[in-house]
Amino acid sequence: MRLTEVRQNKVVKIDKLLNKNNIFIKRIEAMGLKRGERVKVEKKLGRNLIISLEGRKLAIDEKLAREIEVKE
Amino acid sequence: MKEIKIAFIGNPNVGKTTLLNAIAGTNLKVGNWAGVTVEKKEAFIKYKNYLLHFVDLPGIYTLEPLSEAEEVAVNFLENEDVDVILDVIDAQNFEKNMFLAIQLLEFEKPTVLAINMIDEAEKKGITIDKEKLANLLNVEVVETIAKKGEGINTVLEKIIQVFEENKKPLYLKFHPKVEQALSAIEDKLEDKFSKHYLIDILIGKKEFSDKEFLKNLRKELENYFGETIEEIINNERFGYAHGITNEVVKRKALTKEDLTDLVDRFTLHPVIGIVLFIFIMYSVFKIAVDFSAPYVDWIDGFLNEFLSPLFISIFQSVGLPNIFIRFWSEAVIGGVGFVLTFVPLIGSLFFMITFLEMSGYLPRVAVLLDRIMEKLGLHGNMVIPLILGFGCNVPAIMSTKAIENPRDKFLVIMMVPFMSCPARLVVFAFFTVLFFDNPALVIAGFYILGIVVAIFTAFLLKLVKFKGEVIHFAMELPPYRLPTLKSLLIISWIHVKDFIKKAGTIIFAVSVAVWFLMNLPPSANNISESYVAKIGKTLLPIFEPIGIDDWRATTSLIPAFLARETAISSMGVMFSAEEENKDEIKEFDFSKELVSQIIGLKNAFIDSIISTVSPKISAFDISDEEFGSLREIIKNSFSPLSALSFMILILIYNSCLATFAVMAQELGKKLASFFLLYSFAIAWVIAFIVYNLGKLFI
Repeated sequence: MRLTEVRQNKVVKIDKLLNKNNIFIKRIEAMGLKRGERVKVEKKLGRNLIISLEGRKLAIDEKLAREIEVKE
Repeated sequence: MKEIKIAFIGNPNVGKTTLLNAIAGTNLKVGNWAGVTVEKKEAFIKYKNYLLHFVDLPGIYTLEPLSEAEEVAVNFLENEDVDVILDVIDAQNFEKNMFLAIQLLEFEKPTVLAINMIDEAEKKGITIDKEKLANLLNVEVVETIAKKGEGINTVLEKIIQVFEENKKPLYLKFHPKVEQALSAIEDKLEDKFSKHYLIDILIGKKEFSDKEFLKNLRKELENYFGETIEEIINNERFGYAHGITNEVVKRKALTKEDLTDLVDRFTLHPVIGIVLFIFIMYSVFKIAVDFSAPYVDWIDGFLNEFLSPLFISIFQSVGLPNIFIRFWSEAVIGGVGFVLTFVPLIGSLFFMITFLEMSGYLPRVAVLLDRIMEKLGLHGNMVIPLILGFGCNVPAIMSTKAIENPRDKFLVIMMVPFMSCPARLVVFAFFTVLFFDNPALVIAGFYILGIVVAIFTAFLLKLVKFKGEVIHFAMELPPYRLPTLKSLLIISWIHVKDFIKKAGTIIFAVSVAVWFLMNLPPSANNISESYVAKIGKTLLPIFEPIGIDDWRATTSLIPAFLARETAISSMGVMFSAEEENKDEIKEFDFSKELVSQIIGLKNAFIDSIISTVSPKISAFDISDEEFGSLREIIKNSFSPLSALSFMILILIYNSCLATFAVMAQELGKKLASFFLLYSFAIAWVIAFIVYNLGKLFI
């Protein structure tokens, strides 16, 4: 399942980041969105998803979120 | 005295700059937005028998070169003789911060970790075992609360300690396969190198003579792990960060809702958020303008009704020649003094913008407005530099260094100069009150026109230069924080000081040059025979079609290239020279005038409080009587339409030397010069349309 398909307020675990050569994927990985992290999709705003992870909040766009594989 | 060079580094939003401010009490800009400290800044502190040389590096998540920010940091760590690394870590997000810390340890330099915001972490039920952390990594660990200045002296002590002991951090042991590869590389090198250097060779970032050997090493690892070499290394780093976090961080589960979550429900709401944003921006500019207006008036009166006559009476009593007295009152007070009256406006505007930056609100604005920006083919992260542009274009352009995408960066640099800064407001405020019944509305119109031209420019560029590129959005939303008054005042003061320095140097030089051009050649009987008139008259044909047919106005555009506000001050010099003989020097009663100035200041203080709390913008509700005869003369030299035309030119034409200089720095001289021509052309065309359309209706 991709992060874009996750229901609001549901906690999921990141399984894999695809397209790791993309500089933005590298950036979000360094920001903490990496394999094994538990994340919650707080809300969708325009093309962006607001995600919380360990009390931190990140905003990433849907196209990036589609590159994140998650599992329950 | 021994000098210790300290690389001051950390993730964005960890309170790094606040900590450096607390340590150095120095002139560093503080902000909550990732990238505010992208410029390298330094501080020298004498402590005990040491000279501590702090170099503030950009806030970054990783040392991988994702943007210029990381490049700046890596270049510094690699090429400068760094004695000690001071890494600031946000106690609340320990593991994420450890990822960078691990990469720093690879440099094998004496390291101090400052665990900042320890108080906020404790409130969230997070505790960190600092002794264990120090022992595990063989570094020194200090708990700090930068906002309150706690732990500062210990940081300094520990820096000296690790420096004197030459305390090398733990040698990180990656997977045996990776270690084998690194030692194989090391064996082929003559000197001893840090782990960081060896890793860079392995992943191909550094030159290595035996390319075939390296290729095989990499292939072997990639086959073994089933990942690319960069992923393998990063997984090792993440592993370390994760393992150490598990060892030293304890969390108690707390369930209460965070203030940040609560506020975000409103600020990130698609409708309420926009309404709030408009309200907040209106309030920022309203408060800045209304708070400062009474002081602006007071300074104006102080200079012209007190200081100028005071000097004249002193100069006359000591028998100085009339030409000197004229120079003083026209070039010095008339030129520089006029610009200084706007110090309160610039100070209060910076105070408000810095407040928004430091509070954590600006990244929300980026997310919120990304929806609208995206529809225009733009990006939410462009909003921040653009908003900063309303404060001053120069730091706004500088802040684009944190934008990792070259396209976005280029577009936003081309847009920022159209954001109307307070220097332009100086010109607008001057003209609109003279020519229009509703100055605030006209000024708001100029701000909007600037935004429209910026968007138009971006569209144009996308059509020509960046067809069909996809751009992503990824941004951290830091928790809301109430900035300390001290930090806000320091930063506002830095900008005010900059402005005063500018007024004292560039603007003074321009005022003096204009005054001399105006009074030369010596054979000139009046100003219309002077050099300045010749220049202004030569330029007239360019400006006549847009309704600017007074040579003093065209001439004022020449010095305005140095700084826009000089348009008014140099016009002031030229016009006041004309009225020189009209002013009779009155008897100057020092004590009476002084008392009246003090009463005036007290009234300004009361007025500023009253108008700040009243809901409407009242700063521009000033009647004509309050203006001196100078303004009356200018009023007679322009029509409302030609004044509009002149202001459009000032708004859109990039006539600011400082902005041109940073653009040249970021984009190169060629593009910056091209932008100059472009901005002039588009300004002229808009002014032409407005002026000629206006003539049909009036």
